Amino acid sequence: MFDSDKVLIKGCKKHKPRAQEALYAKYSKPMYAIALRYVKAIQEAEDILQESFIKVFQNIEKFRGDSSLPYWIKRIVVNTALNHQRSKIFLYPMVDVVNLDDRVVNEDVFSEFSYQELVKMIMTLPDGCRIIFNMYAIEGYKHHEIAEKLKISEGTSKSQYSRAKKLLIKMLESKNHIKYG
Amino acid sequence: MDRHSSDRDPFANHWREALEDAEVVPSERVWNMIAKSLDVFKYRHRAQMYGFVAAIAIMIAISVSIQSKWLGSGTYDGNVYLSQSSDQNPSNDQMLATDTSPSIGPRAASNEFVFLDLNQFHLNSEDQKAQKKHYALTTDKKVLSPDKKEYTLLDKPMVVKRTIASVLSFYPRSFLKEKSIKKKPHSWAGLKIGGSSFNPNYEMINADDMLAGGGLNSGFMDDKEGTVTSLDENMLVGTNRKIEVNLGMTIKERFVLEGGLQYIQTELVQQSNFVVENISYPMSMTAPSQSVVAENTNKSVKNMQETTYMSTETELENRIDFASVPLRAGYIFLDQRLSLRVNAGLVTNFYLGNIHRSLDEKNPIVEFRSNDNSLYRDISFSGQTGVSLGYRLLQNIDITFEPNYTQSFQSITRSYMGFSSVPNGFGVMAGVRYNFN
Repeated sequence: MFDSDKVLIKGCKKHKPRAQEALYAKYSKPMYAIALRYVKAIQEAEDILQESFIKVFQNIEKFRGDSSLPYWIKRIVVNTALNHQRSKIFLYPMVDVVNLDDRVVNEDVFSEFSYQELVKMIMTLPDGCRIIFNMYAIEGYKHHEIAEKLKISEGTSKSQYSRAKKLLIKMLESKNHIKYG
Repeated sequence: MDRHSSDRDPFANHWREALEDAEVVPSERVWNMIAKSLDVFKYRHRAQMYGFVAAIAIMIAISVSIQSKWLGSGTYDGNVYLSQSSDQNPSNDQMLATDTSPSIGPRAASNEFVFLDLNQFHLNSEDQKAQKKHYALTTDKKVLSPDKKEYTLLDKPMVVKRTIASVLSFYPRSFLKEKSIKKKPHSWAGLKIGGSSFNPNYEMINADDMLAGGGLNSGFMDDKEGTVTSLDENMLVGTNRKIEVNLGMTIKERFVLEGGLQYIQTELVQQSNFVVENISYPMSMTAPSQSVVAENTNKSVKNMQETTYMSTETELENRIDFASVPLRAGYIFLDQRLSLRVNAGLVTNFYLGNIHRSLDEKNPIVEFRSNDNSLYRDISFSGQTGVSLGYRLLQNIDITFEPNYTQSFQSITRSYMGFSSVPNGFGVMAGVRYNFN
């Protein structure tokens, strides 16, 4: 943890508005990028960000420094996003389609897109597979962990990831006019 | 989270690497909303703190009073009673019962025997005859106590069994040096400051009346162009700051009466959500006169006008000032150096005015005074109960600490406003008390 984080935490624990604003200024941008990945609409991402930072300020006294401050805030943002999306996951039945796409995409392809464009691609994914793609590919959860967290089967998690992958490859192809695989 | 390994799908790893340092700037609106919520949270937090402190103080007060009562009625079957024998005069060595008032409390409890500070006792003793008599019955043994002072060992027969074995272990000796409850009435003047939580218990009764009355944040609504068609409002938990001067006196041995004057400043957050309907006409057309509109309501005029609805959510800080007159009756449980009194009484609140402020800026948006036909009643009544703990700091001066609970008997808002607020809250007051006699 950086010293400046320690100072910010100390100030936030004393409910000092300046420290709270400084902490928000420091971490709102990466956290907003995370929130955006989980939603379809910008308004919803703003709601998640707002709710997450209120939780951060209200629970900052519980932060003991076992992990880094950004990691702790990120966990809050992801959990808040999942709570927001949980209802949607169950609105659409997740059918186990074990049809894993094993196409290989070259790493260099990603350098041709800005992260705003990549985030937009994720935002266009259907609700269920967007959440699972985020959790598996970016947050690093394993399929059995996702299954446990979202109360779905492991097969559903795998198939939804596969679906997301297929859709994203299609998007990468269409935007870059290149065929992968 | 964040556990990536080589056995994972490379496609996933590419995405992660590409988005690892992604940053997007959120709109300013997000921080504004967070700041408002934190303000509300600040008030809630303060209100909870008042409740917590009051609850702890009440528990301490109850435990002190129960313990003092228990000490006053308990018996002790031990054989040895100690009296401090620092006084060289043998006639002063012994202790006798002289205070026969039915007092409660560690020292006053033993109305036939006192075994504490002999010097103190001797000063208080009035019955010289009794002293001599008891002296004759006692032996003059000395023991060394753990505090390394010499104590005289007293014979059991001279001591009535209603004694307190462990007073010194329960209370610091300094609590017990003062003479207990005086028979003659005494009076005092006090100054207290403190605060309390303010739970407004807001309830909407009649939405139409509320709209007609302008709602909670009427000052804010006045600025809006158009007609407010729906209103959803709420008062959130706030806090009170209080300062009080008071006078009190004992009216019977243990009963007291206390009256005072209080200035109360209440701060809370009000939320308003209202929809403003705005009817306008296209630039090329002149607005029809009202009579024309009336005649053509069902014809083409409806098509000529453009109706827009604007939903506005407002959060305002409301500061309400009251002058209050509390009148309390109390019962003294303990009157030593440490005193404990239970109070209950009536508080008459006089509304002085209120100020609406934005949560972001502290400049007043609108101010109301009591003669402005405000939404608050000019006079309202509430009940208050509490415990007054005092500690004799100097000869005539006590410091006091008073946890209390206040419940309003009626709504503090006028009945025709369409909503009510019957507040209650826990509070704590601390101050000084000057005893006149």
